[in-house]
Amino acid sequence: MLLALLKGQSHGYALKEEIATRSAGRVTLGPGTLYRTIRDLLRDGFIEEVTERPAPEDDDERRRYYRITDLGRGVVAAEAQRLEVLVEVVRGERLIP
Amino acid sequence: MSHRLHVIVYRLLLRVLPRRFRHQFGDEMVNAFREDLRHARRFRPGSWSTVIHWTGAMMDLIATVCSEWLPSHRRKTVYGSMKRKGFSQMDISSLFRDIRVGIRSLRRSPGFTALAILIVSLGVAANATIFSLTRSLLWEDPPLVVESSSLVRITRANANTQSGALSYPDYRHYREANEVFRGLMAYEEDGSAVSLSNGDRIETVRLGHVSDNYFDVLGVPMMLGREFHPEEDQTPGVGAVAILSHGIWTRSFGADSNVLGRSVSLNGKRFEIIGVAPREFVGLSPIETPPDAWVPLNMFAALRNQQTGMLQRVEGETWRWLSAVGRLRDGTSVQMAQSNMESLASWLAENFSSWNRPRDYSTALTMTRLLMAVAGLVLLVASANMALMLLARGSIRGQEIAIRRALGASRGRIARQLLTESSLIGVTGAVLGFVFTVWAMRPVMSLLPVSVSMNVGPDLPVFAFSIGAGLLTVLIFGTVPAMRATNIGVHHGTRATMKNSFGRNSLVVAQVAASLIVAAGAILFARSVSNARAVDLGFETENRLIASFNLRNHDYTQDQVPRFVADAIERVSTLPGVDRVSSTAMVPFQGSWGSSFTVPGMTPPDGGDYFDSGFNVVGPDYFSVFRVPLVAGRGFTGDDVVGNQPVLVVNQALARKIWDTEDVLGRSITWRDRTWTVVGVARDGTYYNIGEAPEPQVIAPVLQEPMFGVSLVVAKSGDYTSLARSIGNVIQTIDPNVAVARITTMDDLFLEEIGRYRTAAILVAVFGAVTVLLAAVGLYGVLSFLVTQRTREIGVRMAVGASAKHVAREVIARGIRFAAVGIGIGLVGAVVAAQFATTFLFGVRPGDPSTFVAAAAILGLVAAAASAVPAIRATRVDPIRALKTE
Repeated sequence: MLLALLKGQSHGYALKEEIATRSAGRVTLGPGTLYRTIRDLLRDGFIEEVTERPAPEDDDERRRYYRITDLGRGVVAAEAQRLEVLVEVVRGERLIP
Repeated sequence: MSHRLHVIVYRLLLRVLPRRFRHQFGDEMVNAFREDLRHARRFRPGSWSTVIHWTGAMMDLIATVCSEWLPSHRRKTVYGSMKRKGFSQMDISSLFRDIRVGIRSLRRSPGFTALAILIVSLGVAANATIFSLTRSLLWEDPPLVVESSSLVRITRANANTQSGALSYPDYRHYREANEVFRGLMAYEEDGSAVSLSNGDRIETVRLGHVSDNYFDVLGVPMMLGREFHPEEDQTPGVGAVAILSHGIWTRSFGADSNVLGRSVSLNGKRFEIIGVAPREFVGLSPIETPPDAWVPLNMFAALRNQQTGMLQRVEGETWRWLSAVGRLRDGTSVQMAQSNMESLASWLAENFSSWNRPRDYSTALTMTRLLMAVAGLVLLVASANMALMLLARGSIRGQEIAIRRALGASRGRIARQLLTESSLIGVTGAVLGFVFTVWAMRPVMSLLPVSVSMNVGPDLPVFAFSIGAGLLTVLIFGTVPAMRATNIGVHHGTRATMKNSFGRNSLVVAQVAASLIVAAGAILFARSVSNARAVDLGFETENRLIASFNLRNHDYTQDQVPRFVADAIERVSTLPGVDRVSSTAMVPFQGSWGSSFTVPGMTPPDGGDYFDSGFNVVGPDYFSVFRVPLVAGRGFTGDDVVGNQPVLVVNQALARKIWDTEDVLGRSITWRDRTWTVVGVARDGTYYNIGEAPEPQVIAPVLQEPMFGVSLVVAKSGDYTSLARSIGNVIQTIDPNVAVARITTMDDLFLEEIGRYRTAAILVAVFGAVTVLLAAVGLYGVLSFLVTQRTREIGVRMAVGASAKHVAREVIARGIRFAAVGIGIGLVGAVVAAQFATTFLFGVRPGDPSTFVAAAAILGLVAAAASAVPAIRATRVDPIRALKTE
């Protein structure tokens, strides 16, 4: 979800669709799971709700928009680095090319 | 169900979530649900997507409910637990623990568990049965037909005829000139019976005449061989090729894959087999009987060995016999098609309307709607019952819960445990309900007033629906009791209470009201059936067999008909098990027949030139074979033949309509260019529809006024099946090419006629019994619970002198009070509901007071019976023991 928000702010349902697209349909979130995750990310300060609205023609009155915080970016980067180390180890063992 | 209704239901379901979460995200979740639903339906229209969508949404909701009601210090963030602990592993192992504990707890009270499962399964079975019925009749694409949403049926809008069929030239015109269809095909709706001979075997088959692009437009691939080529349907008589249905291919050709290229004889004409249709293909509607074989439209005349007369049917513009269905080009809307067709139709004074279901459909449709409503009531009662039982159980288990709270179990933990128990009941009940559905499907199908050729067996969507309905029952009605139970504090001690008696009371009242509605419906329908059965039809149905054939399809001239009929009557009479035989052109309940004539010296009252009436053409002895009483004069004999004086029998209604008296023997009318003398007056009977007012009718002897359509009326004493077979054989000994199109009994035709009343009556009676039973269980449960709860109070009162009678009367009075309120509300509901069911009522008004009194009395008695057991238990309270527990 944080990855999906790196592009810029987005609303909940768009996030869900972005995740479905990126995972080629493997990860589909139901409404409950989606907003539970958003709630947890908000609480931990990884994302925040956007108070200013997007351009009027893109705006949808019903929706709330979220964007990633600096802390969130840091978490993504840290996680990616951790994974990179793991990948390097596995590659060292010649399990993957 | 409309889009909005789905959203409303989902929004209601969200109420099981904690208030804070709901306030924060409820609206957004509803939006997401709506978008998903829209997406799912666009991607795959039909019931499947809705079921899948709902299953996903319910799973998601259950997961969210479980995690949100967990105490916050134990709740891991969703992504956190996914990463660190392995989300699925942790959750699944604790889920298994909950299930184990749940099963143990349910096994401790087997009576409660069994009853709860039974209640859920009954509610589920009622709904799943009706769901699968509705799905197959209303929602599904016909099997193998691609995207029926882009198919459009073309009918003449201002046609007086019921089908709005097109003539062949109209069809050609539309097909060539339209700009909106990728393809436009036409077919003969009812098919016709022809004889098929394959080697030395001769049998009657139903043949469908279709345009060359019939299968192509529907998108149905051949199982073997190929479809028709355009040049095979260009010139009348050229293109003697046939496509077999899967049924006849297996039945008569031994499923031989080398059948292609072989030739068979249809009505004595050679046809080459070029293809076999797939097994699943049954045509466009589940209630049309699919043909055994298809041949090109242009073979119509050739099949009847007539080069001129019947050819008119293909080329004459006035003969309308075709149904036309087009497939829209991509990006073309029905509206665009409409305007294009209207412009094409203007010179033909034709009109166009969008895809519509075939005619018999409306009854089936109203029927399934009615049954859906009734099944909904059953589910409502079952759910209310579940809620009551869970509420009662929750408060009885107050002590256990209080102890667990004291030992440190959190509210969320306990709620989750209780929800797991409810879900276990829900899932088990749903599986059992599905099994009931599998059993119920076949009998229910056989009750439908139309024969359904489509396979409607319970399958995956029905199973998913059952599980969904079961979970819905326990989730909606199990969550509130679970939440309430967790409100019991540590301090609560042993005091078991069931708060919110208003909620509980309304559940009992709602149950009684709902069952009264269903019971009243059941009584109304039952009375309709008995009224319909009691109607004096004016002829005999018992042991009367009807065998129909049409000589027009077999190269006969009108002059040859009397000979054939007389021959058939004579030969069939000699069969063992046959008492007497005659013939008729009009078979009761099989459509109406009208004609017009003049009467010398009389002018029609409405200023027209002709008198209108029904007519029939019958064989010798018809009146005695069919037991139609003659009030005056004589019936027909073998001497009433062409060349002798033309004679008629009229019925009482006609005599009164024209001459204003029934004394009409010897009077004459002019009909079909001949003057006929009335020699008999028959009693009025039922001809077309049960319950009709007496219709005027003239009846002529078939030997003087031959008609191609002949139905033998056989008064039999022998076995139906063997007789039906030998009659078919006898007809073919007269002419091997004449095929009997239909053999049935008058009893079956009568049952078919009253089918709609019978179906409604039987199904609603079953549902009625279930709901009344459930309501009784609910009432019994609540009263028993109250008695248990008030044991001490009752004990004290008996200790200070209250009599057992007094105590019992009080408990029963309470039950009756519940019932009275429920009956009152139910009566209003029943009166309103009955207005929507008039199609299925016969000889009884929807507001019939005695029905409602009877229904109320039944409910009242049941309520009294349900209260009796708890009342007796109350009188057995031992004051000493009751006081000891204080």
